[in-house]
Amino acid sequence: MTAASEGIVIVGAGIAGFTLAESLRAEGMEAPITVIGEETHPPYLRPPLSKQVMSGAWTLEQTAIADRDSWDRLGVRFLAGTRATSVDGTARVIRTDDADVPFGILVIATGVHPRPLGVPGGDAAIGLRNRDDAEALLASLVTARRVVVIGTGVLGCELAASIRMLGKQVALVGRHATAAFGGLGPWIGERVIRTLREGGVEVHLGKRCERILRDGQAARTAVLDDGTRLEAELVIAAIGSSPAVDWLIGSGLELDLSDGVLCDETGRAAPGVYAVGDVARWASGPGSLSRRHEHQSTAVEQAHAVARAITHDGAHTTEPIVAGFSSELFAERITVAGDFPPDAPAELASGDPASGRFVLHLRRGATLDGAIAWNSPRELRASRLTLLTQASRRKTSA
Amino acid sequence: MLDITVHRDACIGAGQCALVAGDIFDQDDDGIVLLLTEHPADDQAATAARAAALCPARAIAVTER
Repeated sequence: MTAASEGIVIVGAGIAGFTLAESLRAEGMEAPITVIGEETHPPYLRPPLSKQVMSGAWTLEQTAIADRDSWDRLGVRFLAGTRATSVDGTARVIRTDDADVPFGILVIATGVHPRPLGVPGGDAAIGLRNRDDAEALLASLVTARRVVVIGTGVLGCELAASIRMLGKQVALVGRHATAAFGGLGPWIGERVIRTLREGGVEVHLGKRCERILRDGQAARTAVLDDGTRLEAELVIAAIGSSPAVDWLIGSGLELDLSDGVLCDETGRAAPGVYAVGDVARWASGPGSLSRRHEHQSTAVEQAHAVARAITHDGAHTTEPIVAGFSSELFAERITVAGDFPPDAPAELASGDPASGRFVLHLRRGATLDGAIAWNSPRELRASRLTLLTQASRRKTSA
Repeated sequence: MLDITVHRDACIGAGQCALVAGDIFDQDDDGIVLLLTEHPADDQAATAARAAALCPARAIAVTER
């Protein structure tokens, strides 16, 4: 009997977990599949929560990618509203806040948790990760007139722009000299900040929020380290996230949990154990460095790759994965692909920065590291093709 | 017979579809998906399915009838 035939258990029902279940069935996997999910909503897209949903263009329901019956149609047992609390790696059992779930193969897809602000009064700041968080934010936004967003990552910048589009007064606070924006600060941070300011967002850079003054449970004032006081009815913390791996500590499985779950380039973390999505730190090729990607496209591609690995028990070819994401700030559309080493010089590949449409290529030698497209998603396709070709070549020569 | 539908509102312009199935999908100047044919030949089923599977916004539906 193979490990798969004893049951595949996927912990986490976000896009990675759902895509994996779908893809396993598409590959012809007939073994029992169980998915453990903390949330009760049908599967949905997370990226629109800070964009279309927050700006009012979409309802929360429009983020759904499947209905409640889709688990049944896939022949998957879905344990909704259930949290995995620990794993017994010897007995091959997952403990949950409900019943124990035995597994032959375990796939970790628990994603990340928003990092708490960690300053006095910081728990009055609201974070955004899941659909319920978005619903809570929307409810607060009904009455809020002034909003403070802390953090200039992609999420913070998108939230600032989207909420500004609702006509709110928005202040964005970042501790760096420019926007962090998913590690793209060195090349487009200034342009991101300019876009936000021109859209009417008040931006405070090089400052930290050191305290939140409250009125009962609700935030009232964000106090910055230079003494600036930002009055607000709503304070949002978007200062990054940490992988949801607490439940794996002490499992007896041989996992490296130093930054998410370390996996080889096929997604394998230990015998019969895989990880996909935001929680997973995959090696990008044999012997190469590993990195976590908190991007939906990577989660989807990893899910397909692991479905093939499980179904064909390693006797399959792995496709190279090129990371990438899309962002929207007001009418500006930023699409990126590849890696962004902070020391990589940028060259203009097409377009013209003055016209607001251009593609930058980052390279530290002959090979292309990454590409950034500003209002030029179509032009990015050629860059993406180059990145894929390079990655395939590395794989073949390895 | 294959039926392809695209959800242009959900498309984020990642361009995965045009990359893996350039005979079926293209992108407009904003990067948003353009369907070149609603009913590609049956031998394109696997390619179309791969494009749909890789779409990060899940904006492509392929049905075979």
